[in-house]
Amino acid sequence: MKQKLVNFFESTGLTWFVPITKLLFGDEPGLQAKEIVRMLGLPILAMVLFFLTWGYVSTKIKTSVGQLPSPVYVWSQAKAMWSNHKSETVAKNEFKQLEDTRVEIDSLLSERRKLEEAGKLAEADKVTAKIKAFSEKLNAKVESYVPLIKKYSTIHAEAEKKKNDEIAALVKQFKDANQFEYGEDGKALLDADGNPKLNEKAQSQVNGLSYYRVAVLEGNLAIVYDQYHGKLKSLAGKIAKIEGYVAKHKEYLAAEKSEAIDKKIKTNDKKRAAFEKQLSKANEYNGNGSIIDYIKLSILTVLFGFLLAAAVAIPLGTLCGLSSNFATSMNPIIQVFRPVSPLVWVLIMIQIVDGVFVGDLALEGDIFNNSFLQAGLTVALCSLWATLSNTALGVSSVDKDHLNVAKVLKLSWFDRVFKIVIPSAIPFIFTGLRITLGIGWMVLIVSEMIATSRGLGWFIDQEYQNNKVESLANIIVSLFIIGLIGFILDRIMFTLQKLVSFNDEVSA
Amino acid sequence: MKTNKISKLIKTILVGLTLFMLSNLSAEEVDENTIPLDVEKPNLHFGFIKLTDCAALVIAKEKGFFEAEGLNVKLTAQKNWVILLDNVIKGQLDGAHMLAGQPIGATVGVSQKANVITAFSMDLNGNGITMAQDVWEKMKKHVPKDKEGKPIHPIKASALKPVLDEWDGEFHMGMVFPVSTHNYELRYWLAASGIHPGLYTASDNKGHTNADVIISPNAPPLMPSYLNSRAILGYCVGEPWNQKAVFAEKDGKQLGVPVVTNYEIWKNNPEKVFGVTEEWAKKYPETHTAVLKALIRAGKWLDASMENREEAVKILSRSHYVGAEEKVLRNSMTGTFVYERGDRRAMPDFNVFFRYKATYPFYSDCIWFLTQMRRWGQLSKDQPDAWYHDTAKKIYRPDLYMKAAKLLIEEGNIKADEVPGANETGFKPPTGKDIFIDGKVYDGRKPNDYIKSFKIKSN
Repeated sequence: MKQKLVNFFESTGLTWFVPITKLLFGDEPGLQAKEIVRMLGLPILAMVLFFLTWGYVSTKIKTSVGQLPSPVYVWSQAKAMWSNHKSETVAKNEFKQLEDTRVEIDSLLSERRKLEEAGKLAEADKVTAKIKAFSEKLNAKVESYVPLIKKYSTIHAEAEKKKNDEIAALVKQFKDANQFEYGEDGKALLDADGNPKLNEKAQSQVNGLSYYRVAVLEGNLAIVYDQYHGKLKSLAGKIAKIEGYVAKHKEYLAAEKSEAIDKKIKTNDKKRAAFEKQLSKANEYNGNGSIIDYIKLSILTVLFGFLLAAAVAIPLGTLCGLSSNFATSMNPIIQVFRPVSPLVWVLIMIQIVDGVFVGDLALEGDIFNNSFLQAGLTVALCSLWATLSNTALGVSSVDKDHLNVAKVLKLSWFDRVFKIVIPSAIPFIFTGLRITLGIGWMVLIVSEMIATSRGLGWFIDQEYQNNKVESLANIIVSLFIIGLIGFILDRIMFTLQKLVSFNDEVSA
Repeated sequence: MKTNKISKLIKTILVGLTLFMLSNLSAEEVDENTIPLDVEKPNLHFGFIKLTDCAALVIAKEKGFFEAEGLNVKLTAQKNWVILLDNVIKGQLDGAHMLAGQPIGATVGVSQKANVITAFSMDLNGNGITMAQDVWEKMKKHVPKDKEGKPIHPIKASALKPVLDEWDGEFHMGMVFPVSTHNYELRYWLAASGIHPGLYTASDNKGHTNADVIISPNAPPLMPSYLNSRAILGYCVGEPWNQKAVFAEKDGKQLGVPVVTNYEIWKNNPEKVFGVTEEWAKKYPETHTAVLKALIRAGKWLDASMENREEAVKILSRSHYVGAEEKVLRNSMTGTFVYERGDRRAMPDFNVFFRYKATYPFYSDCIWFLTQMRRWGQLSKDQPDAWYHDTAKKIYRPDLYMKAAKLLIEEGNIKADEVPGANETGFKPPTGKDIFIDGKVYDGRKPNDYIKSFKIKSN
């Protein structure tokens, strides 16, 4: 059991868990404790030093949008982004419920229409009664939003007030202490409102407080519930209008026949039909998505690009390794295309994909659309060279003895390649694939930014355009997310590589 | 201390207002009288650039005006004007917030060729020209002051001329797009004081020929950064990027100083439009009308009251809309404009979204851009007056606008006198002396005479 765990940790590269496991099983505690200190303690010490240095430097560096975000501020923004994700989930849920409600009323309305067209007026009236009950339920639901909105907006407003009070108190403190910034002429310099400006130290402390966002989740929820309150109310309003037209229709039928009445009946019916048609159309979710959605799309895109790269590079690399003539002919092309920056590839891919998949052919899926393809192709084009070279190397350095055995056994070309050459070259191929995935992930962010595929790269670009300290902090959060995901992807490849590498040393 | 109390008071009022407004948001007022349209395409995707004058689109979505028409709209901020136009032409966006010059430039082939039309003017005014702090310090000496020592507005480029004469090296300025209102306004302002902004020629499509000032396009949100890095020494851009420079700092002082707004250059000039391709408008006529109805109502809401403007500031400051801080947006959207720090001037018409018939697409506005394109050489051939009139009629579609407006009047959502009547020709009367910064008269019916009347122009 212990040995199994230890083997698992070693093969996945999570070697720092090995002494912990051994310690838990009572294996040489002194030695294990020393190992833990070395394997865990040292990295932790380095990270702590890194954060302390970052914290110190952030008080000294002033960027064009404000003070460089400190680790604490970046962490609070990470929490804010997580709150955005939570409220986005609520929004998606609300949307689903809204759509379900719409589908329900739509089926009732079309049921009634069919009955009317078939002349079964009494039964149509029964459906009208059902619709009335539905409306009442819906109106009650609409009302239920009001206290929710009030609750969350109150919490948010109170938190904001508390923060503003703290800031005001701090500012007053500084102003009372004359902590202003003085110009060369001895007069206090002015701030944007034309009032005396606080000096650097005081201002950065005030900013430090004011940048923090408070009650993010509650503020977002207030907005979400308000939006859906409005949408449900709008839906209820349209249903009320439809019922109004239905009632008017009956009135007109009962009235004296005349040309004017006929005209009124016509317009009445037209309006009713138009509203019913509006309610019959399906809606797509039109929100902006959250950080989790962006991460999902980024990972899907990089996997798509990676698999495409592998699918192209492995066969090509095998051919290069098998035939030195083929390798010689491919060499200039490989050497010239390899160093090309993803920025160039993505711009070309945008034009090509938008030219081929245009008009009716345009890809318009939620995930699989033109932008996704542009970013994915760019990832593939930039990262396939590593796999290609390594595959070629691996194939061309198959042990001569193995090939001789193949000759002796008179194996077919097919068997020779797939039973001897490729299996023997697999360690090299996986080395290449690991590098490919690493390069692909790095290239992905840039490709997404240019191709406007809604992943992490796009999010970073949008934040950058907002041009304020909060966006800088969000970008730093994204930096860590990108790093962590890259690290995880690399670990996965490392594990796979170790599994196929016949006990050869694999670089960490 | 006084400002603290006042800002605290304002904040408390705003909090209260927000609570009040949130709890009273009634979609009932939104679709009480709506005449429903048989919309062909209910799910729409529009693009915009992070500027305050995308407000009509954002408000139409957030306040339920689109919803009332049966439209479900997704709004995505675009990276820059080139990509935005590209996406509309390729069909990835159904329509977009566009510079007034973009449908024109696309149709006559100055930018990528496509048939783009507009039936809705999103706003008037809204731009400023900002100069770097040190350039302003030099300019200030040449600006006449009033009794209190404050610079007299409007500040003409004549204050910049002596600074240019002494300037070492090239003087770079930024605007947002070759066919943008900003490009033409900046050039007009410079040329009116005898500074040559450069010409476009067959061999020079950057417009730098014979230039005293080298003007190049940059993305609006990045302008303050370029000012900071001295890549440009001034720029003409929409809000909030002028006020951003007021709040940002360099060497302890404000990064940039807005010196003039386009309101002062051309009073109530056309700025942004809502553009769609002609094919899209033909394919989805009812949808287009529904969109226009919602946008007109949003425009009216924006100009209805200061409370609405304040609410708009809050909505626009959300990350996926304009994203700038509320205090920056507030500086230009709530009736004032800040130049130097401490110099806040009243400017209730800095943003006009609906009044003065702002949402109607006037032919004479379109023709002004065509005359400027000819003036600077983007259009290389002279054309008879009739060509200008016919081209304007292809691009600007007041007929589609009036279709939507009539429905709104019938519903009672707008009043008949808020939009032009049946006898509107589409040509505004010749401008009086108080409209352009140099007092020049512009008559849309006589474009060639207007072009010929300029001293600095292309051949």
